[in-house]
Amino acid sequence: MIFTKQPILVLSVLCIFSGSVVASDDQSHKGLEIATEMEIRDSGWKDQEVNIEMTMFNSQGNKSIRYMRNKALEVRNNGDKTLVIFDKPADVGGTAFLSFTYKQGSDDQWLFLPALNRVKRIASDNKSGPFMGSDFAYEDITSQEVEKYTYKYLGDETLIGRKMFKLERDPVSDTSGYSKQIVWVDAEHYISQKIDYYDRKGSLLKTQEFINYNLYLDKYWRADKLVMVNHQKKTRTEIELKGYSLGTGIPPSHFSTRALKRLR
Amino acid sequence: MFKKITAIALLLNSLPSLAENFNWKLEVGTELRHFEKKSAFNTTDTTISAHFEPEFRYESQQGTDIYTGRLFSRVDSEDSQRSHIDIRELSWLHIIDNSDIRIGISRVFWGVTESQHLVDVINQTDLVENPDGEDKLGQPLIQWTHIYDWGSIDLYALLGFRERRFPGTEGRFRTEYPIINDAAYFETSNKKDNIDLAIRYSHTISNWDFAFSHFSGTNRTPTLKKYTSDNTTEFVPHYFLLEQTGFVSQYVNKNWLWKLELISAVQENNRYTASTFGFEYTHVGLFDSQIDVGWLIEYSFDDRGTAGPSSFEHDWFSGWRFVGNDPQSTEALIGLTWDQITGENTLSLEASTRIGNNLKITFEARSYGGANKAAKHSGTSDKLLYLNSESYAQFLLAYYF
Repeated sequence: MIFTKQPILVLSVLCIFSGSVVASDDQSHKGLEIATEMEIRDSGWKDQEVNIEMTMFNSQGNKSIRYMRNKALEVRNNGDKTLVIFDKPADVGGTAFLSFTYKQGSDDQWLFLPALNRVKRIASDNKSGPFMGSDFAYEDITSQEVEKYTYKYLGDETLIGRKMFKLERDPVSDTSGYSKQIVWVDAEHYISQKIDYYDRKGSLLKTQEFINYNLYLDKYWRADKLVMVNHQKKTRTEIELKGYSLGTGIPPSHFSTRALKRLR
Repeated sequence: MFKKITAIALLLNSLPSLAENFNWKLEVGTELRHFEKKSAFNTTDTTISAHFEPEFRYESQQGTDIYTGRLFSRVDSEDSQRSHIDIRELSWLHIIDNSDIRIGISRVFWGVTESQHLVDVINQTDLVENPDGEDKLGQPLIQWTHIYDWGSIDLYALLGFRERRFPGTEGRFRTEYPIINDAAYFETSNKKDNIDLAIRYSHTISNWDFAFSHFSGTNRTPTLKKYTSDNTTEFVPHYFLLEQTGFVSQYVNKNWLWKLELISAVQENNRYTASTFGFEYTHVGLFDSQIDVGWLIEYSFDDRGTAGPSSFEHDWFSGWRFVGNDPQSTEALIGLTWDQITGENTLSLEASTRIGNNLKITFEARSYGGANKAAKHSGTSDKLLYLNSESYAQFLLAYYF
């Protein structure tokens, strides 16, 4: 027993070593190519509005539901601007969250608190923090810029009967909650189908699935449902996205701290 | 006839959208306060009260007109002054491109620091609600805003003055002598009908938010003057005219927020300067949990010093903010204010969490200490002496419809 254990341990250490360091240039190149193609195909939608129903299941299976509205503005050559307006639970109704994401550096975030009629700036390096107490972290739901990761193409796989590119992406920011993510990208449409998130210690933390994609404006794929399972905490969050409207011409002025006070 | 039908058709057409653009919310709550000591003025150490707060919002189809209203009312078991109704908000906002105009009753907040709000001067404090002074009365106003590439300009005409609401003689947190609101003195001959003016310029450059403001009108904070006659001593509120220029700055760098509020003001021909500055550092994920902890340190000074009316003459504030990031939105804030010269201090704790979807429970406690009668450093009693017997803990249960 002792004899067999030792070599296996050594071997597995070697595997990890070779796997992470000796990523061939080809793998990185193709990985980056896929990520860039994903971004190119999903650009030009200008703005988007969608209603969100978020259900959080705890480890006992009890659920709590949140209702909110999301507006997003595409920003050329930089990260997007996002506005989330909370409707329920009622005590946080009217609370609004505004964020400007950037390709590099920290995002800008503000919170409007209706009870006090105040806009509060948030010290914004909390990428890994949970969004509204859910299994989604802020970094999971903010815009996925190519520059936020380094990439490695791991090969092709079949998922739900379709051909997928399997991609590893490693967050560039040291404030990310993850050591790496494995993404399954639809080889025809270049959209994410599934993501495995690994924590800083390298253990599998969460799995996200994108369910029921629909095509909008003949060009942009949007999922009806996102499911995030936390394997370590045994919790689950489902986000249902309803009533998408893209490219309707939401004025950029809606994405400002001043507008936060009146958009409810 | 045809006109009538058209009108009805139009009305029917607009009904679904009316429902869609109309939101309302109702908060009802009950509060139980327990004081460490019985008051010197009555024999109760426990008070019960209830509040009722409905609000609505209506937005026109094009989103260019927004009507909002919020009514606050409270009934209190002990203090008739604390039982009150106030229109916090009842206004019409009209938006034209980069301008908007608000007419009605509203609340305006200017500021960034936690321990006190020096620059924030538009609304009167509703002091009967909470001794922390964070609650404000609605202010009738006309506000015009224009957004330029180089920042935003706000102009305010404040129509009518609202007197501060103080706890009654039978209430808790009352001053040593009763306050006679009916005898209030106003420096301006228009008294409560004076129109006060304010202007503010605010801008954000990358990680830096800043604002300059100027207020010209009657100071919301009265000076309490002592009058003695026939063995009775009373306080009379004096509302003096105030010219106050303010500056607010907030710089964000990763998990750090650097905050500054600075004022220079003239009242009764005296110019004075006061400031609050400090930082808030957020530690994300305490001990690998999902809890965030904020560390706050602030310092306040007022160059009128111990002899002046402010209780933030040379005071340190340190606080810890806990954010649970859980589905129940659990939060807590612990704060300690300490005057380095007089030794006056206030320790406060506020914590809240949600039960189910519509019930929120809040615990709050404040402990006052360190204030002395005929203190050595000034010869007169410390300003917060009247709070020494008022340390309390309270539970608040609020239900949202």
